[in-house]
Amino acid sequence: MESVAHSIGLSAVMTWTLLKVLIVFGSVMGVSSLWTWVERRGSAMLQDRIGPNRALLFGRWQLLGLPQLVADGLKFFFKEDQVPPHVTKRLYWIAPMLAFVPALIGFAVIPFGRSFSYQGALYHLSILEPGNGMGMLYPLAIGAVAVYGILVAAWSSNNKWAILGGMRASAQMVSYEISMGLAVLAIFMKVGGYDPGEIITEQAGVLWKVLPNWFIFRQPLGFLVFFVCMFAETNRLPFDFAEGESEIVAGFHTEFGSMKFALLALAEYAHMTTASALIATVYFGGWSVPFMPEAPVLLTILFFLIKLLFFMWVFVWVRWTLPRFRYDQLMFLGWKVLLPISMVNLIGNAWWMTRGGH
Amino acid sequence: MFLLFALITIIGALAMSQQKNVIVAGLCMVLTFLGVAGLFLMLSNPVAAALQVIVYSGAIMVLVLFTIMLLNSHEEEPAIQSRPIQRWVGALLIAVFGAFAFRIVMGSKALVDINTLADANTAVRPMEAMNLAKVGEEIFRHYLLGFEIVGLLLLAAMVGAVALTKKEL
Amino acid sequence: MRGYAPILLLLLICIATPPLVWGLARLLRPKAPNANKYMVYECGITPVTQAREKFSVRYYLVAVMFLIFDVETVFLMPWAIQIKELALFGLVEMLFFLFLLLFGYGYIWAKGALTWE
Repeated sequence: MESVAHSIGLSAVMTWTLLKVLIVFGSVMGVSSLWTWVERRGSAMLQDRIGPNRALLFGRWQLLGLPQLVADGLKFFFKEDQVPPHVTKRLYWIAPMLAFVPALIGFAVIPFGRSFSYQGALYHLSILEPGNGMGMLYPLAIGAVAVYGILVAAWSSNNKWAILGGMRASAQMVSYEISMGLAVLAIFMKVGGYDPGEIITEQAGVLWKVLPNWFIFRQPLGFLVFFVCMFAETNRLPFDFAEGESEIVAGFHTEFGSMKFALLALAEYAHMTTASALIATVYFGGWSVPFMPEAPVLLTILFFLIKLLFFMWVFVWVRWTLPRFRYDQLMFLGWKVLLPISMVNLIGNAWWMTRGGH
Repeated sequence: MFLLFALITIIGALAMSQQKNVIVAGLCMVLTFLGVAGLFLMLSNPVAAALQVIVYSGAIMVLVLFTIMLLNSHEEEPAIQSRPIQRWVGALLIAVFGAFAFRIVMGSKALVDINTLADANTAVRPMEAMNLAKVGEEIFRHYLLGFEIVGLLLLAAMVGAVALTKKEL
Repeated sequence: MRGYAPILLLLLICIATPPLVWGLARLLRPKAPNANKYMVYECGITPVTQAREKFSVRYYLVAVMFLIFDVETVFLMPWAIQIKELALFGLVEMLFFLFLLLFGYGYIWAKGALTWE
């Protein structure tokens, strides 16, 4: 580490930070774009069809259709990027950025492996190091800002489908944010802190001698609420009112093409990545390896990746399992089912905690 | 760093007041709030920064933008004739408020502390970062009544919102 | 503040990426403007009214409710963290606070503000 840092003329801490930022940026981008492929192959698998398999690498290798990913990426570069005269130009350009930036920086607070010490220095595997004072408020804040990407994209394109989709989606996102916040509050209570690191350490150990001490087993109700809210927050089916291709064409990105569309799509997948990471961290022990308190660092990273990818797969899985809701059902679920459940969960937990339980 | 955030805040505010398009103006306001959040971070108060983003940029501005879109007036209102008296009154008010703000900041305890510390040639000790636990302690120790009144206010806001839109329900 | 420098770095990278790819794409892509392509997309039908229509007041109501409950969540946070220290005193105070809100919640439910037709 020292020698590498020295050779590029930076201090060890700076190099480490730079490395972490690049790793996180690279892997979120990588996983998100990989998932555009998994989504299609997975959908094909679930529907018993073949899926994309025609793109060949160097005209020879099919590789399960993976070259499709490269082909799509290249295609976006070669598409005409039109800016129709009816859009509000400035906002039309800013909107993909507004969607893209929050989607990617949301990951920063999540630890993706056990902290380790090397030559007397402690290294943390998260961009925002523990004890920063922002903790879990950070993803909540970023989630709150993420609404603007859709809202601005919708309004700037000045298209009926787009505005309908954007309004629906933003109303949906704000409705589900509350239940999500309340579900996380119950976790704060149990942990007595709000740093993701603390939340993960709290989940170490064994529950009833057979289960890992994860919050999903200790707060199943909270998990249910949080899980549903994550689907709503990422605008994924069964809550994809932002797009709803059978109802409003393509929703908020109807008027977007070429690279702008690519960024919007990538932002959606990046949101999915962050959401999966949050579910894994808050309810499934993050990087912790069940029944192995002193797991090696690489194993913890591997476990975090497994959990992350599993939940990303769940996103695809649910897409083909549940049909889309109707809009009034969505509002009913958000305001009249999830909100009371999360309230009950919160008050029940508070009661239990003050009675001396833990 | 301070200058960067201060510039973001001020430019956002100025751009907002100069904007013709209301939605763009709203977004400029979001920018201002984000700048303020950055300033809170500089003051080693990440909690305030996060809450600033959650409540102001996340909730209040969404409400404002929704309201703008709700109205969606198509034709631009004709520009009102500039009224010199209003301008002068505005400038005067700005001056008065500016003077007050300046006095408050200059007389504030924190600034006095910093000055005395600098005089005493001691290194300014880094401010301890704020966290939620400390906020909780403060609320429950000193500001309990205010806290309950906030609950009452929120209730009033709920009732008010329903009353405003009741005809439509 | 020091701990947040990496975030700033990540933010800069994220903000720089879109213009970069747009710039690259600009070099590669064709440009063939056409009046028909530039029409508002409405499944091929010529649009008749403006897109920026007046919206239902329900969206406003949802936003207000969101704001109120968001503020409430924010106020609950410090208590949730401190629950072990505050014990019963905190719970009673908080139940009082929550009661006010739940009362409001019941009121808006009864008034039908949460029903979406």
